[in-house]
Amino acid sequence: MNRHNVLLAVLVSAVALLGLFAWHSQQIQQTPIADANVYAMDQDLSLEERIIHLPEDGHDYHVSVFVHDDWEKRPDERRLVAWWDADPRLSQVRSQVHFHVYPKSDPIYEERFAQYIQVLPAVVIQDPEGSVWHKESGAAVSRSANELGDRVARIFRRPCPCPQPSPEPVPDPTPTPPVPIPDINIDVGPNVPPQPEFPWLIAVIVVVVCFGGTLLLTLKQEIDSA
Amino acid sequence: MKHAFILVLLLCVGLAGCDVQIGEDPICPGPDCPVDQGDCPVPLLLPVDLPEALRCQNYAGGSCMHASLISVFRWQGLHEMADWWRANYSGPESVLGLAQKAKRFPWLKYAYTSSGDADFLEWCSRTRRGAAIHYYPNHAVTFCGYEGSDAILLDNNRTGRLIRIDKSQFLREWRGYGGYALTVVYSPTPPRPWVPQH
Repeated sequence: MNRHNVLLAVLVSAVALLGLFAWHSQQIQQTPIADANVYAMDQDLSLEERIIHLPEDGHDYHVSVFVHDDWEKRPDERRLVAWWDADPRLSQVRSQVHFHVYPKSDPIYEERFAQYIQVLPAVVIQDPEGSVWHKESGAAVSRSANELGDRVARIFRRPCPCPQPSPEPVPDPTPTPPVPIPDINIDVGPNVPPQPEFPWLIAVIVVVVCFGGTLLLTLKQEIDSA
Repeated sequence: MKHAFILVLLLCVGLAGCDVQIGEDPICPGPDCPVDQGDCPVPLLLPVDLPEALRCQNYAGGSCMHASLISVFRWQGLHEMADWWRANYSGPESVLGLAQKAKRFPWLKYAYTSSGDADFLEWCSRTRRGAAIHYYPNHAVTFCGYEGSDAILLDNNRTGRLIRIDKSQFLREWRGYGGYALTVVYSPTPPRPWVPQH
């Protein structure tokens, strides 16, 4: 090993380190554009801090009512939708599930349900995993709010046959037990976006690899030529 | 000597070129599987599983943030709002700009973070709502939630496939881009229907 080899290894390591610095500064330079926007926007927004209650409803069931586009002109379908507001049992269920009314032209119906629910109107109850626990459609749709309430109540009372995850059987029409809603602090105040830290560990590894690698390569070349 | 220079060159190229890891599409049983099959192999698909036809593509020469939010609107059933937003807003935008615009609609329920709060994204994933986020240099995408140890993103410049990124890497980079996310608070689309053998 001579002095030239060591110098070359130092040079290679320095170039690699410079490359790493350049990359890191490029990463940092990408954020100031956002910073500027943030600052300008914050001046216009209220600076008060807001605490927003975000619903913890990821495990709620989905109740979907599928109707024709002119459902408001069809007495049976209008009643079917209205029951979920007017009937005490159904409105209680509605308040504790994800409730959807899908007219036939709704893109979600067309893309996701049309092949499965072809006869309207229909009521479908799914658990959070998508498993269909209840479906009634066409002539089989409940003829009264009481009948629908009974059917819905039976759904949520039925013991679960699923392996995991599975809905819990409950003694009343409540589909899921109430879950405490955690607060998440959503601030509207001035904000300094975090900058990416310089990857010192990677820098050390790069220097060691470059230095050692260059030395080994040059030594190998010397041995080969000798 | 020649080898040493090649080594330096490779290192420089490697360091300058690394951005994000774009993996394969998430594994799912496909659109035809879950319906009436009796035994769906994957009970839960992606938290945000927006049909491809409803994914909003970037428009007007660069409206990525608006497009990202429009996909969130559609996923949560706000189709009229999505159409209105698409017709009336375009061009570069930030999450705070979205929040400012959303504030003009008193009935619209929305939530956002501007402090890189990972709990907010966890909530967006856990409740299957998704979010519009800053990601990539001067770009925005739709956050579709977490699946296992990966984050799933929908890029409005390439809506045909989803992007899978290691969660810790994603969070690090998301914070690097400012840590912004905004979503609306409505019911997400039901999961794909399937009928178990009760």
